[in-house]
Amino acid sequence: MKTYGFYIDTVNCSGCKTCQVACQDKNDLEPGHLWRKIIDIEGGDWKNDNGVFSEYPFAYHVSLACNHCSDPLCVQSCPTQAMHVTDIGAVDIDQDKCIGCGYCTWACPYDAPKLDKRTGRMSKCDLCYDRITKNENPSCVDACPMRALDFGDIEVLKEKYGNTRSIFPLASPELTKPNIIIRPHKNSLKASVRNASIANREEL
Amino acid sequence: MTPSAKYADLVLPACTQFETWGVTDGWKYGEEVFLAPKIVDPPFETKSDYRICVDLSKKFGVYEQFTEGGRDEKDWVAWFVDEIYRKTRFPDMPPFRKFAASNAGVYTKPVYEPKIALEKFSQNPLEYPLNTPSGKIEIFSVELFKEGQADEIPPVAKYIREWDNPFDEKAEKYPLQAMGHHYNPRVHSTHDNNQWTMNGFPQRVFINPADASKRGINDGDMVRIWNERGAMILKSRITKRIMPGVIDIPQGAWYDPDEKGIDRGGNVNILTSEKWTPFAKGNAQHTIMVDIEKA
Ligand code: SF4
Ligand code: SF4
Repeated sequence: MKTYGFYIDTVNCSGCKTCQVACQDKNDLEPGHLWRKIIDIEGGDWKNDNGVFSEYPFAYHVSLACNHCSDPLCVQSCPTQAMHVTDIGAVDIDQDKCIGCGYCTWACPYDAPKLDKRTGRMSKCDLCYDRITKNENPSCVDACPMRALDFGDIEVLKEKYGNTRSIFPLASPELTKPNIIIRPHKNSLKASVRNASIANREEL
Repeated sequence: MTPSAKYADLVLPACTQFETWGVTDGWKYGEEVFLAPKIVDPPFETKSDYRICVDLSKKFGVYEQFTEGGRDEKDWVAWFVDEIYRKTRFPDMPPFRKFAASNAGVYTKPVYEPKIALEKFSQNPLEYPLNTPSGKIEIFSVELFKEGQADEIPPVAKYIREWDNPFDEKAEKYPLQAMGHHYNPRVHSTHDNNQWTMNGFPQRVFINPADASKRGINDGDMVRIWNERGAMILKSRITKRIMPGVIDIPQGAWYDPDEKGIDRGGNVNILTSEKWTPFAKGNAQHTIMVDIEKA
């Protein structure tokens, strides 16, 4: 069985959030209910040389949904077995079993599962099951105006794009073995030494 | 209701561009034509702007002249493609009927060779003069000189200090420059009521940490922003992506005054000068000095 994954190009991503809104549109999510979210990173600073400012701040964006991990901590932590691995290898939530306790969110290092306030149950990216079983891309991938997202068999993505599995501020891939391939923005390499931080916590 | 609709005596329900025919080209830079076909019928009582004008033209008794013989929206688009584009900028684009039927949406003029600016002029300036009074590149423009306002319309390219600027004494009272950039979730003011996009990019005043800490402002605090023209209260976003000494209030937010007349919607226009720019007669949108404090 193949394992599906996302490719995330943080060099070309402009942080426009079209993918986020395309996902909300496709899945009828309320404003603020995000299955895909965009993390804005900023760092560096301004240099004040006797009233003349020179700049060395930087910014980049990471578009992130559920990574349908090979070692999903969410599944392990779910007390009702609602969180499970589906026949196509996606990690999904059985809405009949979920009691909305939120343990999966605490366990997930990517904060992917979100409470659906309308149902009181957890919800998250299901890889657009209805679309991918028709051989279409998930909605977010097709919506991206920068073509910064891709989707498919993780082995094929690996061949095409390399095997980087993390970028600041994402967790170590050892934790859950996320099925994402990342093209790292050049400033992500300096992120840890140049006091980078998440700039848009309010929107996540 | 939009702020402008609130000022209107009469509100007519216009439909969106998805509910009527349209066409546009690459405006300034691109060599392409975009077709915008009608995808669904206008819902409820809505009509296209053109249809509204057509109905009015009937009342005024100028229907024939206005529609030039009864053209509807689609007829005009067809006329524009066949009679204007194909006869001027885009001779090789397919005729309207074929273009629309192909569902291509966009026609792009193929580029075979890199374009060189002023190519003919640079090779033979006498035979191919420029469209200037002297036919040359004008370092000193006599036409601009004749405007007689050398301070604000200089005949040579030079720096002009803004009317509101950080260098004169007014800046002691209003030390921060304000600008209003085009914001991701809106097209100018369109979509300010779209909760999906606005939730992704809420209306905030962007402040550099250096300016914020001087005033004891923390990320997410409500701040008052004011100058001699108006005042607003808005939530802050502290970010290094804005330069020290400058704040940014994204343009296009809907004016929403409270009972004291303080805008809560974050509409940068209330801080902006109404003075036109001297030559282009545009709005001096980025010529604003303000101060801010924790609200
Ligand atoms: S990203 Fe989180 S929710 Fe998704 S599979 Fe991995 S651990 Fe589970
Ligand atoms: S749509 Fe594409 S460019 Fe925009 S935020 Fe998403 S990944 Fe980035």
